[in-house]
Amino acid sequence: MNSNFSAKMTKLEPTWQGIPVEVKEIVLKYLEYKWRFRLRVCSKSDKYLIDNSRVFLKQVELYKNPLVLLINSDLEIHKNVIAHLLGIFKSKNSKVKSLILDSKQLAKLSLESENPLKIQEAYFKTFGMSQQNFIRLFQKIDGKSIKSISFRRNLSEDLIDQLVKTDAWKNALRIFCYGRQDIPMDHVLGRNHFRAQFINLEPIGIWKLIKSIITRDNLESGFGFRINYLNEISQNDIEAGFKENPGIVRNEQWQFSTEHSCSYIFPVNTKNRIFVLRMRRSGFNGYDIEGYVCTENYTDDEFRKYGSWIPKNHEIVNHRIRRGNFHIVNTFLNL
Amino acid sequence: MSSTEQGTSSAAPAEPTTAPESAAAPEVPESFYYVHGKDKVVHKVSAGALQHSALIHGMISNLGYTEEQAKANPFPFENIDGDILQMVVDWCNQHKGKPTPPEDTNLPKQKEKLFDLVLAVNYLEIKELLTYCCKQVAMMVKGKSPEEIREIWMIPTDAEDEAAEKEAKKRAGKEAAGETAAAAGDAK
Repeated sequence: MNSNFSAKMTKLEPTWQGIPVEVKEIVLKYLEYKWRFRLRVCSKSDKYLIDNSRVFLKQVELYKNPLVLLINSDLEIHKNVIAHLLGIFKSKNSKVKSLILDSKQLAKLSLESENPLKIQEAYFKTFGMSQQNFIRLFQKIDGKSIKSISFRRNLSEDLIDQLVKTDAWKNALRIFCYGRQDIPMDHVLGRNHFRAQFINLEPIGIWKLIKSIITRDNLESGFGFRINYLNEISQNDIEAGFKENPGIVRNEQWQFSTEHSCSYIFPVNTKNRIFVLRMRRSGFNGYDIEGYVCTENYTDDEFRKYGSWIPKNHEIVNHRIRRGNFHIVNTFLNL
Repeated sequence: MSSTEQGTSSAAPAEPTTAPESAAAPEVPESFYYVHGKDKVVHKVSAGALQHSALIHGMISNLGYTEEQAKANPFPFENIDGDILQMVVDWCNQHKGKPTPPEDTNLPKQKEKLFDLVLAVNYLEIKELLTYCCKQVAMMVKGKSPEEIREIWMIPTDAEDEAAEKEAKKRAGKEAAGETAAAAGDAK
């Protein structure tokens, strides 16, 4: 047997300096983000390593007034904020699970970031930049990574027209639009979760949405939508859509049933599941129509659970808004 | 399962002893291979355990050695310390055919040993064990200051690094000059 086949290891020293870069990158994966900066100042080679290695972060939040970058809820950066944000995406393999953005400075991210932004969940609290730059930023979101997109402010008709052409929009499984605007229903079909606030909701749009769910395979409990709308839609308007498809819908006696409050049950393609649709006057403004995939023997509690579910990134933004500022901890590190 | 015995050389290894196998013998007899490190101690390891190492698995997959041939041709890992190779072999045996747990608490705590293990495991391409080791290396510096990190991970300062590099260059230059002089002497 050739005794030289382990020569590859001969020059390696059993120290941090001696281990190969690819192994160091695995170590960095398990090193908390804030400790990376302490390693960064240890030597020139470590500075280079940190500046050029990929980053995996659970949560990155950028807020204005004051401009602050919050990372993983335990690191607050006030200096060179945008440069730092750009630095996160400097490596093309960097990934951020949840990115919450609320700053005019985002234009820089759209103009200066060279790599696709590998983000799973994007939350745009405000846009604060030209429509052109916002679209440019949106186009930088990696279409293969994105799962969820949320907008807190209104989207203009023109902006929606351009957003729906991007890979990020097409591939997002969850879309949440909290500004009040009408979105062409054809652009939100096939999502696992959709929430929006319409001005005028057309019954045909509702039926399209329902049909896209009940004809899908592999549905999971909780998939569905909630739309708040301001125009009046009667039970007859809703049922007009179902009449083209006789026999698939069952009108359910519901404790709140009135002219504007009703509940329907639809069969779905997934075993032991049904789709429950409910419509009622909203507690806040206008009316709500919501429907979720439920288990066959569903209860009101199950339906309510899906209706009251909010994603983690929405919880975080709501919490920060309630507190009135976006400082989370004393400054740990100013870079 | 693995046992070791001091061998004399990689070409003629000493007969290794083996611990009794599991009572339920497999239908197809399991094949075994032999490895040794710097200390020449030969370890008998089953092909199943060696599957953890992509390097060794790749090497043995087409060998078709008989028991005798395998015994006569142990894999020499001259740059892996004996105790480190023993740790690797033990880990492979413990996790043979089992899903690896999310944590492994049996890794060495001393930094020198851990870095030695990292190098060996990376060379042998044992992905899961490398992940555990890297986690452990990362844990070593959690909450430490840059000075403490330098000390724990034995990182020289830039000044020390430059001085060492200069020294190495000087030494290499002297050696090269010596070799040239010797070659000139030989030519005369």
